[in-house]
Amino acid sequence: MSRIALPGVGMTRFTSADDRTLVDLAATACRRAVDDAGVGRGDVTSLHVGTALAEALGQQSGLANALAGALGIEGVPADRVENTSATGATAVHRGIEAVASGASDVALVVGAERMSAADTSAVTDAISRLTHTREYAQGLTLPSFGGLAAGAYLDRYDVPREALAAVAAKNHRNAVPNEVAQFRREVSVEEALDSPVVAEPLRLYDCCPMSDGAAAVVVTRADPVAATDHAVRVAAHASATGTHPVAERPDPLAIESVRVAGERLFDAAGVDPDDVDVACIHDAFTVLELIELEELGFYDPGTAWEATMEGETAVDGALPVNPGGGLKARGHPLGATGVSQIVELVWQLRGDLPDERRVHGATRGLAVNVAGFGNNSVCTMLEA
Amino acid sequence: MSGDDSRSETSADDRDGDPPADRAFVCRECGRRWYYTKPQCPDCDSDPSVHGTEKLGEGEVQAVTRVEVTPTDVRSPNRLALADFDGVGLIAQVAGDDDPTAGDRVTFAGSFTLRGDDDRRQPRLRVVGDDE
Repeated sequence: MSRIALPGVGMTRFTSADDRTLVDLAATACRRAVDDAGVGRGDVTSLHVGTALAEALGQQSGLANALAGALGIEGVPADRVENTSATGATAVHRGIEAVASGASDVALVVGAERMSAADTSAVTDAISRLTHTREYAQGLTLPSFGGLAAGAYLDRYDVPREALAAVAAKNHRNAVPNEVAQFRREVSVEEALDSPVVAEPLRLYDCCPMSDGAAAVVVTRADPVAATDHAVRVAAHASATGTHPVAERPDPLAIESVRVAGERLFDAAGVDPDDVDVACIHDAFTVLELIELEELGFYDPGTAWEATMEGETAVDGALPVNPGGGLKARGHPLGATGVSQIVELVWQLRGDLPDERRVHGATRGLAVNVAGFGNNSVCTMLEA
Repeated sequence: MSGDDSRSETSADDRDGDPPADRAFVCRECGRRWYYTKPQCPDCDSDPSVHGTEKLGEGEVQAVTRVEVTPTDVRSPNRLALADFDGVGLIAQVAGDDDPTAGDRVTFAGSFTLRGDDDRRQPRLRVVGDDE
């Protein structure tokens, strides 16, 4: 897959409320990515748009067509992708496959969400609808699954509650110098431990926020850009579905979709976890960062928490994780999140970030974007 | 599992929506049991015309949580338990002030409104040996 490159990326700052329309948000990210790639809008040969909640929150339906019109690129094939919270990465994969197949020369991929368009209860209900009907009947929300998994993790591995707070503190610290992050404020372990309970043992600072924002990437064949500064390439991409009901899994700490997608990714890229220099992990809840690191083979089961507390996953650690703040602090506008992970990796692999938030010497990065609580996991590996 | 009276007299495809919270599906072709509604048996692919339901007996708690931030039509806090009923896994609300921990035995009991938009009365999980 090394013949596919990402010559341009761009995104809006993620915020709790952006006054722009969903179309405007997406168009802004697209323009930034196209400019960054050094191509003209007229060069775009396909448009791949990810949004998860547009209709549920009373936003623009038919977003791909509306966006093609807003960008003035009518005539290109355009489609919309939806995969709940992994919508963004799935849209990126569709763009990669369009170029790899020869169907498109310059694919423009964008993910966008405007969660402030409805009140919190409406957004919560829209997200909860992704659960099985018998889960929904019990009042289950995504934080409910997170609480169950976090409790099981702390109990099984005799982990102190501070380990979860350490993930939140790290990711908030990483977001401070990130100009596109929603929360550019440090949160201490003590603050995280003292924040209100959401789903015991998870507290407010263990959970990602609701966000507005958009992120975009340009996908092309590698040849035309191989000699440029923008020659970040797609080493491999892979995804896998898991059980729809969470309780059908044999182990409450197993997210098989992450493990399988990761195995497929490493097999396709021909590398091992030890070869990865930086990772963007789907930390919708702090415990997910730990479980996913273990499922992907970066750490043995029950050990990622110790590595986190010892600083291994800090920006200057052995495996920097979520250097842009992750979902936790950069924000989580569902349709945009997976694309923003790719944007972050491209910036890191190019090395064109300020020193204070740069992973020095990184040449290979991995992203995992997860739908629901492991219903579908979407992995991407990039190389400089 | 409880006795023969727990068996549904109707096929699963005769039901209107999901069965009551304390019932699992059973395939009369291969005997497979499962909880979360599916269009075919996960083992033998048989269709719902040969699926019945049966009342769940006792299960073992694997994980628990107390959810403080709940949907507007769901109680707060919402105590939930992930439990295994002889190979049938499910997550369900916990009754009253019960505070189960991993390893506890639970069973469904009582009659409650689980969500405000659901007009059915449903049982919740209760720790075996605890009074309602």
